[in-house]
Amino acid sequence: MSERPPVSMSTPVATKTRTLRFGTGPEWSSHQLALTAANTLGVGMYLAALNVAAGGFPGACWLLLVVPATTMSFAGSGLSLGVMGVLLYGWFILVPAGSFTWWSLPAAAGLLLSHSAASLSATAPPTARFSRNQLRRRLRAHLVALSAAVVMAAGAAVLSGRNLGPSPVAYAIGLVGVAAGLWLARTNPPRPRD
Amino acid sequence: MLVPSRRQKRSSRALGAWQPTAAHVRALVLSAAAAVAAVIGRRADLLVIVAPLAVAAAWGQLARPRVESTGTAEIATTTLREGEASTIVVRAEPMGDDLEGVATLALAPWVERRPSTGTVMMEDGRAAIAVRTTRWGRRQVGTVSLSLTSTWDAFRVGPVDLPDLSTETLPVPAAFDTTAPTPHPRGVVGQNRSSRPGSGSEFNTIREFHPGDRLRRIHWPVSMRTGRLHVTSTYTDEDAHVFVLLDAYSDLGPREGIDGRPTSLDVTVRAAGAIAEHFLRSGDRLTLRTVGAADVPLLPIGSGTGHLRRVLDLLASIAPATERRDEGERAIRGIDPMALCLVLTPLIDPSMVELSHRLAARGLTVVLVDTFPPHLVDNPQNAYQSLAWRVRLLSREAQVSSLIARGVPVVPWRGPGSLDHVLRDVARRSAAPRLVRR
Repeated sequence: MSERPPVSMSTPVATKTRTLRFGTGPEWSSHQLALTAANTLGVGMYLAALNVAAGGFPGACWLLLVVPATTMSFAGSGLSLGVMGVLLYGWFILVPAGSFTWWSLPAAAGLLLSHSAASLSATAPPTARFSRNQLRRRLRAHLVALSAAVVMAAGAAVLSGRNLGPSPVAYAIGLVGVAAGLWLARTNPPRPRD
Repeated sequence: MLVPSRRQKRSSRALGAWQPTAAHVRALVLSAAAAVAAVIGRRADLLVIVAPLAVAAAWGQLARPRVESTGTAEIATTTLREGEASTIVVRAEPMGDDLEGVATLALAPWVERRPSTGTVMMEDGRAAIAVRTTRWGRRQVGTVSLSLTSTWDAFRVGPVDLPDLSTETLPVPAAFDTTAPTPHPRGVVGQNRSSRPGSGSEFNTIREFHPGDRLRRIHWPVSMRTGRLHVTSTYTDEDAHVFVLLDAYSDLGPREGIDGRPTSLDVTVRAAGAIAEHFLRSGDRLTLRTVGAADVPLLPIGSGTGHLRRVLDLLASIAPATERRDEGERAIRGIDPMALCLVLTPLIDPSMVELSHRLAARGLTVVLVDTFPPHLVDNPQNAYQSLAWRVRLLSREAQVSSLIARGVPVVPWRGPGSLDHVLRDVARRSAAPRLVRR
């Protein structure tokens, strides 16, 4: 690693940070506020896609839009899990079963955007500024993750309309997926036997 | 926040084990639950929606860091002058390419941070935060905390507080100069003119050559005119002993640092630095003692730039009003009777007036330098405070009058030339004929 020259107050390390304070709360940098806006945008995309796919839903559901902005101090908590769970549950009950809609793609993009914005916001203090490299890396990862949704949507579009039925194979695939997920999520892997 | 004299240049700490974040748990739970619901409920669109989350969860899990990292913070310079800046470099090792880190420097009194929020994202495992100290003293620069996150913010360590770094900020001496001679010179290496002719730089007279005179002292114009060799004779140079007594009983006024208005102790300390710098550069011997501050070592008599550094170190170690029981007895013990005593005090605590009286009673040449900041005024909003202030000023005036009546000059500190008039008076007084008992 090459040594860099020492930094003094006269040679700026970073540009002056503009912050915003709401009441007596902490100061928020423009980058963190932008992440909150992205989180809200993600929820908005999802709700708009759900609205079209389901043919409308109660107007009170739009109140979910204000959740990211009002809970931005809790981006690293389980609150986002609850909000996204509600969103997915709404899709589950509002969109007719057995059908496929291409609106699931913008919904997937919205959910990913909301998830990513909340997780990135939680990694740094409210006054943090994120580097351009960091955002570029994240954008690349987003594109890769979204491509999975595109592939899945294409597969679903091909299979839609065919009556496959809940075959034992589907159950087996689902259970294997859950088992794989649990195996990956374990934090303290047991020591292998000698 | 004063710290012991040991300066901490580098601190290091293991960041601990990687823990899954709420984001990773969210991605895992949502993707697994939605996958099960999609299979059971024949909802292919639900699978499409959670597919990116499943990819994020799997990617984050597979890229989980396996080794613990160690965070290190290092400050470039531990000894600074007021207003000077240094850099804190924060590193994490090992630091993978896919890891991201945030370093935060907590706010500390009289330490400015750049960026002003103290939060910096790490680039290539390294982050730099500039700090500037704005007030003299020994203190911690603020706690550095460090946190790292893995790909997709799936796993995280920290934030972990690294052990505090500490610096010593030396006071910036105020501008001071005096053209008046120091009273009672008697050494051999200074720049003060003595009354004895000898080897020196101050012109005395032109006299006839004597055996032993240096050839380079021959004054050729006079020698040519008179036909006999004449030489330029000089006065010898001498050094004096200066004793500086510093009042650390109180620190009045808002502490705004080098960029703001000074407190009473700021004025006192910076004046002491300026006086020490002037006399030590002139070749005089100097010692400095404090009253009212705990854990300040006794400074031996010394001269030269090395001693100046010791004086500034001692000034930086002063913590005001930490030894209220100190009556100054130890400080004024063993003073050279020929020393010039400069008492620097804002005249808040009457103990310094008593000490000045005692020094004058010993026959020492005492000059009291009043370091009370002129911008400190009473609070007109509070009648009682205003009244107390006026009473205090009246008693202060009485104390000053008693000192003047005893022959101790009291001069306000005004920077360059503050002591010119009084030192000339003292020199004239010491040269004047005295009435003595027989």
